[in-house]
Amino acid sequence: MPDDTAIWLKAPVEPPALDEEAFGLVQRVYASPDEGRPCLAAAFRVPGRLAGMYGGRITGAIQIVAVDARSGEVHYREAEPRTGIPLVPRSPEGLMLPSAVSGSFGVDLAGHLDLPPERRRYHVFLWLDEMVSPVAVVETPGADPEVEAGVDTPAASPFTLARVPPRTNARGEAQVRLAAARAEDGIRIEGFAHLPRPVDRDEPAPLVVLGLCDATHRLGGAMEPVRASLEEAITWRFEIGVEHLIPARAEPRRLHVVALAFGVLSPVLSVDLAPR
Amino acid sequence: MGKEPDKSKPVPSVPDSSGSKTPTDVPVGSNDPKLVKIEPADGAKVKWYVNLPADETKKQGRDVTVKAYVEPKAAGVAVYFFIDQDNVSSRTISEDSEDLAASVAAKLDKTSVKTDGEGVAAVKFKLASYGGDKYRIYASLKKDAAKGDAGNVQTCEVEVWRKINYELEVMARPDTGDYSDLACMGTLAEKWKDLFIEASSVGDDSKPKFQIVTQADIKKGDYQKAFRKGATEPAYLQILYVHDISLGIKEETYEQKLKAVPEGSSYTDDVSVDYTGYVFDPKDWFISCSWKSGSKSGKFKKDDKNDDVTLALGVKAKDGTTVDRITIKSTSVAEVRSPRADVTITLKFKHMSVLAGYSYGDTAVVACAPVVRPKLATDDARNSLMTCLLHEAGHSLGLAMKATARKKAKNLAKANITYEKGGLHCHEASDTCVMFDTIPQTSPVRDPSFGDYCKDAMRALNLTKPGTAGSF
Repeated sequence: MPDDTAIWLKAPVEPPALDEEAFGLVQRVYASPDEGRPCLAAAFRVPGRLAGMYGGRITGAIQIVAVDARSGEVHYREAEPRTGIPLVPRSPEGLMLPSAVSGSFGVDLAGHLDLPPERRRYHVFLWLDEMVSPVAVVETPGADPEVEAGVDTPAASPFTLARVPPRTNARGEAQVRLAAARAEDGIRIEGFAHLPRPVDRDEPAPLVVLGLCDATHRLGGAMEPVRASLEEAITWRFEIGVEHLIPARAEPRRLHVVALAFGVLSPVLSVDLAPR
Repeated sequence: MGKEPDKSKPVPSVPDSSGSKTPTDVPVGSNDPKLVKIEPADGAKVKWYVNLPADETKKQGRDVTVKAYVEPKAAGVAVYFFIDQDNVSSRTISEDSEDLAASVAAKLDKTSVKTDGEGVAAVKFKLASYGGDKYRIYASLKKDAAKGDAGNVQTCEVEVWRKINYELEVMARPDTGDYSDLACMGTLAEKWKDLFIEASSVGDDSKPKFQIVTQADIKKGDYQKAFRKGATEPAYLQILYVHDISLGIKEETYEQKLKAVPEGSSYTDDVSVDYTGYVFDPKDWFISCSWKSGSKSGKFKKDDKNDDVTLALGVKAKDGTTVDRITIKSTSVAEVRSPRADVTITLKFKHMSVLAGYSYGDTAVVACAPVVRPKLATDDARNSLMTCLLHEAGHSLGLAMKATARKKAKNLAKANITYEKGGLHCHEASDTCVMFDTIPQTSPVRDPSFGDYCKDAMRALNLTKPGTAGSF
């Protein structure tokens, strides 16, 4: 198994502080002192049962996810060096567990996630089962891409997508929300993406819906381009079958789902897939 | 993939006579010279170890001297040699890869030679370095002869093999005994045999004492060199079975909340936490431990005189599993034993990130604890460790990205593609090949083996001097 120089077991710069009473994942983007490569200093504070489930490898269950802001291409990898040992969650039942466990790590994003060498913009977040961090916008250095990345419309889209009257919310924030609906033909994930303000460039942006398998911690997902509006607030309503979000060769009992649109990440929706 | 043998290689083709030719163009008459013998003589198939120092008497090296004898002995008789390569394997790998042997072709230094005064014509046959290829050399007095022609003589079949001289070191377990029962060299020999590699033991088991070996220890080289004995042997590989390989230290903070209790009440049990899947260095795990309750706070002590915080390895949890348990003597502090306000206990500790295995130069290291810890059945543990050994030894023998390519790739960015294309591991056969990224633990492979792609790559490796530069 290899040395791994793109991730550090302890954050080399101070990560953002976490609320003493709250669980969560946080990250700070900084430029590496040598080459100005985008790096993350990250911290976690999670319930003790996760220490029971993942043992000393909580960072092995945290996924670092970078979504290309233009193409919707998804890059992800666990927040630990390659160990060659698969991460196998165990039941925390019967163990004396702490109230909370916290730690930190650091990562060279481009190196760890094998990002393309050219200049690109990513929406980056950390994902541990039901928890996600805030989204950070990261621009990788490099030459401008020869071909500007664009959003490819899938030949056969798994999405049902419709523009609906704009929603409003009290704080006038962009929002993405998800819900699950059981139907005879399976589980469908329903959601909306709301952008409260018009934009000044008319270009499609990716709507990305991702599923995280509880057993393998691999990601599956689908992408569909959506447009903001030059004149007004806009809300897109979407639906997708949960089967499109399950990673290949995975048989999750629970699938954790998020959606990302207009740089806004939804809260995690956890879907029980066990037969009823 | 699926590449046919390169027909442009300088290997003479063998026309198939199929009995259609007549021997009328062969010199006849009792005084005409005839081929009577060839060396190596026809007979049982011979294994030839192409990666060992050249010594034809030991069937080592790539060169084979082929001698054809004519009688009556006469000088100046032209003898024609050609290679039967009908049994040469098909290759699926690219022969021009910078990571694999540049030349695997078999060739004769001359295809026709005149006999000397003793009636002997000799040529040098260079074997391919490709394990499992089989060759037979034919000699004829007729130019453009085919292998079935009358009057020909043929050598025995020579099969290309490689030999690895391995030394096995097996670490003592932390309690009693050692890991010898998990190191199955007989299985390794069988697995390699399929790839035309003979495993030959050249060292004894010197039983290194128990310790946590770090990746840095191995890279430094002093650790493994301290007990290697057979390193002067050609084609040497050191195999180490150790307890754990530490990749580095993680620091975590554990918090325990205790609710305030009414006056007159108190907690009777100390605070304990069970750790499973954590790897502690019992000599260096503690950072600090403190408590806070309202405006009051204090520290639990752990020094030469006090041991308020203890680590017990391998104790039974309530559910019967074996865990490592940290216990904090919380009842020894009055404010924590009978707290009037909620208490937060904060413990900062170190634990290790560990590797399944590691390859550095001519040393392949296998960590046993990652399969012993989850209590796999012995056969499953052996299979998991065999997967790891085949993997790490595969790296050491050459299945790895070159150091120069790694440097170019900087941070191992190409980790998810096969080594031939600049990556570290093989994804050609998904996770069914031992050269995949991880070793199986919960659903162990019953018969760990290389995928077709890596089998071919193993057969193509030049094993003259095992020991891939770099660490994997």
